Amino acid sequence: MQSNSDSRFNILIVDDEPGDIDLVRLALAEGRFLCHTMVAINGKEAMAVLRREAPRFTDAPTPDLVLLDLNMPQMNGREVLRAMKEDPLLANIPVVVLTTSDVERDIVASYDLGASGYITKPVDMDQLFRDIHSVEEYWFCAVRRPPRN
Amino acid sequence: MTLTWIAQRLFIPLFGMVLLALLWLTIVAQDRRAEALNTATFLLELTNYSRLLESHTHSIIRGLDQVVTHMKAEYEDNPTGFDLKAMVARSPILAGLSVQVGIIGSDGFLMISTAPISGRVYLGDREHFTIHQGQDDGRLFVSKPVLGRASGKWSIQLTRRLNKPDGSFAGVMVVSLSPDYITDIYRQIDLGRDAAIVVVGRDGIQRARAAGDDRTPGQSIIDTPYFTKLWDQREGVVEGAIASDGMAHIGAFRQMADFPLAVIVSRPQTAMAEIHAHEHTLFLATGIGGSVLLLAGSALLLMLALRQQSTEANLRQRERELIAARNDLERRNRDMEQFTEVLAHHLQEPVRLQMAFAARLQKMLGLSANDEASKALGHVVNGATRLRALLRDVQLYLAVGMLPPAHSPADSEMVLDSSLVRMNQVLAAAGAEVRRTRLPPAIIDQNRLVDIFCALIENAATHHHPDQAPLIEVSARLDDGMAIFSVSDSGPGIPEEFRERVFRVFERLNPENGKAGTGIGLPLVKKIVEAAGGRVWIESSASGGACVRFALPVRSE
Repeated sequence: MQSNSDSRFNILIVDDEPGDIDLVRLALAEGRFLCHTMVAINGKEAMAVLRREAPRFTDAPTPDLVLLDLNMPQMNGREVLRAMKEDPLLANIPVVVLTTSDVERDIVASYDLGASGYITKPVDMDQLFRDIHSVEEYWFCAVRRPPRN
Repeated sequence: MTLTWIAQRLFIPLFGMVLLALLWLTIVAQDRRAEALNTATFLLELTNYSRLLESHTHSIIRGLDQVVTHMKAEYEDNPTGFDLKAMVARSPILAGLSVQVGIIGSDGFLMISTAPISGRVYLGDREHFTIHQGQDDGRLFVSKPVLGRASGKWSIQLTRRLNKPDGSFAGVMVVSLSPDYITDIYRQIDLGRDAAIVVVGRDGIQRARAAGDDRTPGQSIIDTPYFTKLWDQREGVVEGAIASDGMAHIGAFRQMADFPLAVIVSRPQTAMAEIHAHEHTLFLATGIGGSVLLLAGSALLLMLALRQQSTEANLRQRERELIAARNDLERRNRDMEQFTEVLAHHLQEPVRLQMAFAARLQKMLGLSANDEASKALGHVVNGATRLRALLRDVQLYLAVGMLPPAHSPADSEMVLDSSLVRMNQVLAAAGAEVRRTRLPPAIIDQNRLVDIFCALIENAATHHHPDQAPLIEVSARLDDGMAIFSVSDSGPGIPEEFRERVFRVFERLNPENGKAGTGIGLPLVKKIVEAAGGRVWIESSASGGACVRFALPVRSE
C-alpha cells in the first residue's frame, strides 16, 4: 500500500490534445484513487513543472506518475523521457506513455528511453477508462513506487 | 586536365616510341653483324680462291720447270744428239699441254722449236734471252707476256740458261706457255659475276689475267696503291682497280712459293654489297613491319585506354546518378515514413476523439438505441470507425515498402495463434469457426505474417452467407521450395473476373452490403507477400467460397 502521508496521488498529464486531457481527467475522476492532476501541454512545459522552474510551478508537487504523450510541439515525449532519465532527481519517477501510435518503433524507443509502460489510446472510451484505471491499480496499489523527493 | 590525365595519355605513346627505338637498334645491330659476317665469308671465299689459283699456277710452272731443267741437262750433256721433239713427246707433263719448246742459240737465233719455224727467227733482243746471256743465276726466269711474232698469240716464257761444258753461255732453253693455261681455272670455277684473276710478277707486269672475257695480260700495276702490299705479306686483301674494268674491286692475294709471282682473285666491291643487300632488305622489311605493328598496337592500346577512361567516366557518372537516385529514394522514404507517422498519430487522433466523445455524449444524454439522436451519433461513430480503419490500413500499406527484407523464417504456427488472438473479437462477433492444419515456417517478418493472417481472417469472417456461421480453414503445403498457405471461407466466393481486381487498393467488391472493409486488406496482403518474394492469388474453396492462397519461400536466398 501507499505509505506516503499525503493520500492524494499526484499525476502529471503531458498532452497537447485538450480532448485527451479531458478524457484522462474524467477517467481518473471515475477511478477509485484520489488524484491530483497537473497538466503540461508540451514537453517543455512538462520539464518546467518537474523542475519547478517557472514561478507558477514552484509549488508543484513531485508527481507519483507521469502520463506522457509522444507527439507534441516544442519538445516531444521521447525528448522528455531522455531529459528525465538524465536528471538524477527525476530519473526514478514512473512514466507511462499514453499515445495514439501503435507503431513498433515508437514502442521500442520508449522502453529504450526508460518508459515504465506503454499504452495505445484505445478508440473505445470505455476501454480508455479501463486502461487508465488499470494503470492506477498497478502504480498506486500493486507496486511500490520510489519515495517522493 | 590533371597531371595523371596527361601521364595516362602520354605513357602509351612514349612506351611505343621506346619499343620502336629498341626494335630499330636491334635491327641495325643485327644488320651490321650480318654484314660483317657476309664480308668475312666473302673475303674468306676470295682468299680460298687465291690459294687455289696460287697452287694451280705453282703446279703448272713447277711442272714445266722440271721439264725445262731435264731438257737443259740432256742438251748440255749431248748438244748434238739432242732430239727436242722426241723428248717433248716422251714428257708426260708436256703431253697434256699445248706449249712450244725451243732452244735459242747463243747468237740469239732460234735453233730448234716444237713449232714450225719459217726462216731464221731472231730472239736475242728478248728479255728472257738477255737476262740469261748476262749471268747464270741458276734460276728459272718467267718472262713478261709477249705477243708472239710468229703466232700472234700472247705467251709467257719459262726459260733456263744453257751452258757449254766450260760454263760459258750456250743459249736459252725456252718453254712458251699461253697465259690461258693459268687462267683456264677461271672458266672451271664460278667465281661470280665480274670476278677477275691476275698473276703478277714483282716487276708489276701481269703475267696472266682473266676479267670477264678479257684475257689480255701484260698490264702494269706497279703504280697502284696496293702493289707494294702484295710483297709485304704472304697473303692478304687489297682494294682498287685490280681488274682494270673500271670498277673498284676487292681481292685476296697470295704470293707464290719459289717464284717471284703473286696471284690475286678479286670481285667488284658492289658484289659484296649485293650479297648483303638481300639480307639488308629483309632486315629493313622486318623493321618496317615491326614498326607498323608497334604503331598499330600502340594506337590500339591508346584507343582502348581512352575508351576505358571514357567508360570509367561514364561509370562514375552513372554511380553519381545512382547515388543521387538512392539519396532521392531515401529522402522519399523518409518523407513516406514521416507521412505514415502523421497517419499514425495526427490523423488518427481527431478520429479517435470523435469516437470517444460521441460515445461519451450518448452516455451523458442517456439515449436509447432507437432514439433518432442515438442513431445520428451511431452514424458519427461508424463513420469515424471506418475512417480510423482506413487510416490504419493505409498506414500499414505504406509501411510495407519501408521494411527491410527478412532472412530468418517466421514460426507460422505461432503467428497464426497471435493472429487469432488479435482477431478474437471479430471471430466471436461473426460466430466463426476456424479449422487449421500444421503450418510450415516461411521466410517473412513475423509481424507482417500476422498482418496477412489478420487481413485474410477478417475478410473470411466478414464474407459469409447470412444464414450460416462462417467456417474458416487455414492450411499449408510445401511445393518446390515454397510454402503455399491457404485461407478459405464458406462465403459466396469471388467471381473469376474480380479475382485480380480485388488486389487493387480501395477496390471493394460489394461496398453496399455493409460488409466491405477498407479496400486495403487484400492489396496489403499482396504487397507484403510480394515484398517477401512470394505471390498471392485467389481460387474457389471446396465449399464454393473464396480461397486466398499465398506462396512464400521456405529458405533464405
